[in-house]
Amino acid sequence: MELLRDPDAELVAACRDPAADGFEAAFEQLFARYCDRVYAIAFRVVGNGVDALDVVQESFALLFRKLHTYRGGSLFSTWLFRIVVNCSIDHRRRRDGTGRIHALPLPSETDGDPVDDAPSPEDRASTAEVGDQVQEAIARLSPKLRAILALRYLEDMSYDQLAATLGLSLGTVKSRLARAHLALEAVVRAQFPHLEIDLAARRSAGDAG
Amino acid sequence: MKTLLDAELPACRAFLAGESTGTDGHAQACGSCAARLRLRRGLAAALRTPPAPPAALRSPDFMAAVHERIVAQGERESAVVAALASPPRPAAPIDAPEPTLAPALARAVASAPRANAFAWSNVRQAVIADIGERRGLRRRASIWFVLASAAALAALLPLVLTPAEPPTIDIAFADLDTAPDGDFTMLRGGIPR
Repeated sequence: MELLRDPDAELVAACRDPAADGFEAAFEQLFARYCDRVYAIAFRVVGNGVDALDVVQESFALLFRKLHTYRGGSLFSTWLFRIVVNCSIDHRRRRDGTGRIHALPLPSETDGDPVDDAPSPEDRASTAEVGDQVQEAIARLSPKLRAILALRYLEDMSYDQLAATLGLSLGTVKSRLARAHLALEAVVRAQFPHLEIDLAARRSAGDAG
Repeated sequence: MKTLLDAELPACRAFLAGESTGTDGHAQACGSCAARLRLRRGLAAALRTPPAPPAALRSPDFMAAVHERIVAQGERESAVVAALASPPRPAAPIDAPEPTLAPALARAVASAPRANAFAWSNVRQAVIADIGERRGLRRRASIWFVLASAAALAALLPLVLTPAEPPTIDIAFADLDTAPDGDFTMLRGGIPR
C-alpha cells in the first residue's frame, strides 16, 4: 500500500534551513498557500477579523520557530492547524481575561475583487448577514467546540484527522463534535430563531438553483 | 414535540448524536427531528462557507509584520534562555554589610563605637542593684501585711469568744402626738385585717 505523500513536503523541507538561499521564497510560498485557511479557522475561534489576523501572525511566527521540531509523522497541514487552534484558543482566553467585547467582522473583510460569476451585491449582503449570524451563534460556544466545528466544516476533516490535529481520542472527537452540534442548534433556536428560517430558505434556493 | 416517553426515543437520540446514517428515514417520521435535520444541514452549509479573507492578509506589510513577530518571539525567548542559563550569583561574605542596607546606614553600622568592658560592668551592677531594691520593697510589704493581719485578729477575737445575751425588747403602744424617748416604730394603716 502506498503511503500518502505530503503535498507540502518539498516546501517544508525548503523552510527548514533559514540560512539557505531559497528559504524566504519558500516561507512566503508556504504562507501564501495556507494564510486564507489559517485565517478562516482563527476567525471561527476568536470571532472577529482583527484578532484573527493577529492569530495568523502569531501562528506563522510560531511555525517559523518550531518547524525544526516537525518530524513529518503527520501531514504538515495537520501540524500547522494544531498550532493555529492552540494560538486561537490562547488568544481567545487572553481576550476573555481582559473582558474585551468581540466585534463583528469589519466591513473590509467582505470586500473583494468583483469577478464575473460572483453573486449579486444583494445575494452577497444576504449571505454575509447569515454568515455573521452563524458566526455570532458560534461565538456563544466554548473555544474548544468552536475549534472542532471549524476544522470539521472548513477543512472537511474526518474523525481521524480531527483526532490527529487536536490530539484527542476518536471517542472524544465524536462526543465533542456531537456536543458542538447540539450546543450550536440550541443557541440558534434560543437566540437566533429567524436564522433557522433563513438557513432553510437559502437551502431551498440552492436546491432549486 | 417528542418526550422522553416516546417510543422513538432511541432513534431520536441516534439522530441527535449524528451517528446513524439512516437519519433521513427517521426524520420523515418524526417532525421534531425533521426540523432538527433541516437546521443541521443549513448550519453545515453556513459553516462550510469560509469568511472572506481581508485584503490586508496578502499585503507585503502583513508579511513584514510576521517577520517582526518572529524577531520579537526570538528576543523574548533568548532573554528567558539567557536568564535561565546564567549561573547563580555567589553568596556574599558573612562579614560584608547587607547589600540591602542603604549606603549611609551601612556606614553607620560599620562605624558604630564598641562599648568597653568597664561600661558593661557598670551596667551589670546597676541591673543587680535595681533587682535588689525591688526585692527589699516586696519583703517590707510582706512584713507590714502580716502585722496588720495579726492586729485585726486580736481585736476581733474577744468579740467572737464572748457569749452573746439576747436583747430584751419592750413593746409599748403610744399616742402619735407624743413621741417616746427610746427607739420606736410607727404602724400605719391600722391593724392588719
